[in-house]
Amino acid sequence: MIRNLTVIYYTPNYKDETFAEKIRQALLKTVGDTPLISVSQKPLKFGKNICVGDIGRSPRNVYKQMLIGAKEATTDYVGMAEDDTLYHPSQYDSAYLPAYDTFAFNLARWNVCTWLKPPVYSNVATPCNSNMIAPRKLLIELLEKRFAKYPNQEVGNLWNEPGKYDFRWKLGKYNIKTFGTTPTISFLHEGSLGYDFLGERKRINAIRAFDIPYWGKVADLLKQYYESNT
Amino acid sequence: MKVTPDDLTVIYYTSNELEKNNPYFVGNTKEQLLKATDGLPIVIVSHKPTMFGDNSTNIVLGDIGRSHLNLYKQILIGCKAAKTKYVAMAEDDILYSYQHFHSELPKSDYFLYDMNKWSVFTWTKPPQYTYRDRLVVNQLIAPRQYLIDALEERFARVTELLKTKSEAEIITVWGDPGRYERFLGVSPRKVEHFFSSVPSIVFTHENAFGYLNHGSAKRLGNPRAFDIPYWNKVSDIMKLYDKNYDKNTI
Repeated sequence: MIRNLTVIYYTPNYKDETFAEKIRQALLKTVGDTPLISVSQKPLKFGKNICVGDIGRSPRNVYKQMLIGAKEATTDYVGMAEDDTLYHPSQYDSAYLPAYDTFAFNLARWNVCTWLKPPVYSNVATPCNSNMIAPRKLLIELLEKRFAKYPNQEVGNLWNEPGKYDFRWKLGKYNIKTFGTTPTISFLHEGSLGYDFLGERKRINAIRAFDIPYWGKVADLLKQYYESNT
Repeated sequence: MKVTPDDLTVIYYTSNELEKNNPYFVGNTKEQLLKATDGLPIVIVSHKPTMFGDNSTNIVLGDIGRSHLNLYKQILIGCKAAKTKYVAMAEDDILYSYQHFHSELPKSDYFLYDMNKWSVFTWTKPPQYTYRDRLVVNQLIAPRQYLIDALEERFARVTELLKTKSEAEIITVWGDPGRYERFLGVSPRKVEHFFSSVPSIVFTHENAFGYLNHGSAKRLGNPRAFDIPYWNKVSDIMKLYDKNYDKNTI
């Protein structure tokens, strides 16, 4: 058990349920006894569940659900978990907890674009919510500021990773640090939020692999988690 | 972009040390280089006579010794001998891809580095590809005159610095072109990155120049992989380095 951290799983429940359930079961194995709060748009039996109803899928609502989860938690830190991502336990290791004024992002991350043939991992070493560890109070402070100052803002880069563009939106400067562990794996498909904007044109990083340490062959991983659903 | 033999010359610089210690491996990297360059001119700047390829010339410098500064002297000599507007560097322990030499050229005066390169540390068991997000001169493509100007300025500065400092002190501030210029006290140079669609494979081995400094303590990068597109399994790639690789690992 990782003390002092709660895992916040947020989902709009748009994914194929068989796939989503496999990802949730994998997350349960990863987090063990670490407190888990799920914030969903349909009721879920998964950790302590908060169902927010059908508020719709949007970048803004990702942060709304994230904020609700962070407020419900009581630990000093929260670690995010997304509904299409596989995590290694090291993602939530206490060694990577940042200072209370800093958001931390694990840059060890591979995507699996499910429409690519042959299947391939593509590396994405950029800060992403799926890999964020945040001081809980800092996250609440920032997100409440965003919603209070821009109550009607639906689009634009305001709804981006904490600390990334907040300075430009005159919300203050927030520190970001990065770390690297055994990577996380995100499955991208037609149900992914980014796919709405770019579809299959979504840029695939040139750093690619078929077989990586710990997770193994991408074809096997797809078979295990994804292909039986399509 | 179509890159032709009229655009780009490959500068292959070597101390011939690796050829002496592992001719099998160097034979394989040369064969791959010829596939990757596909008719581009190659200027080979070596310590001993070295010739391969149909569109190559060889400049033999004799036994000038293996050093960081001599490596760049070889590059400068090669650049001056080349005739094309652009030059690309090549080393003897790298498997270059065709895409590395044929995807992109600098659009103005800057140093262009291909960041799509995986390393293989030959002593790692099990073997792995490992990625380090760092620009390295062996992935450099440059406007020829821009690189000549930069290196001539550097060597003039070194001549000055040698009056008060040792060569060992000087090379601590001698980075890849585009890096550390302000520490050396020369004009800053611009750098751009690109990712070719097929990576090059850089071997780190006990005969590599860098190994003399870091040895096997050199850290693996992240990410890591066992199998990647085009080159496939790293255990098979290791057979290009060591023909008895399977037997040696049992």
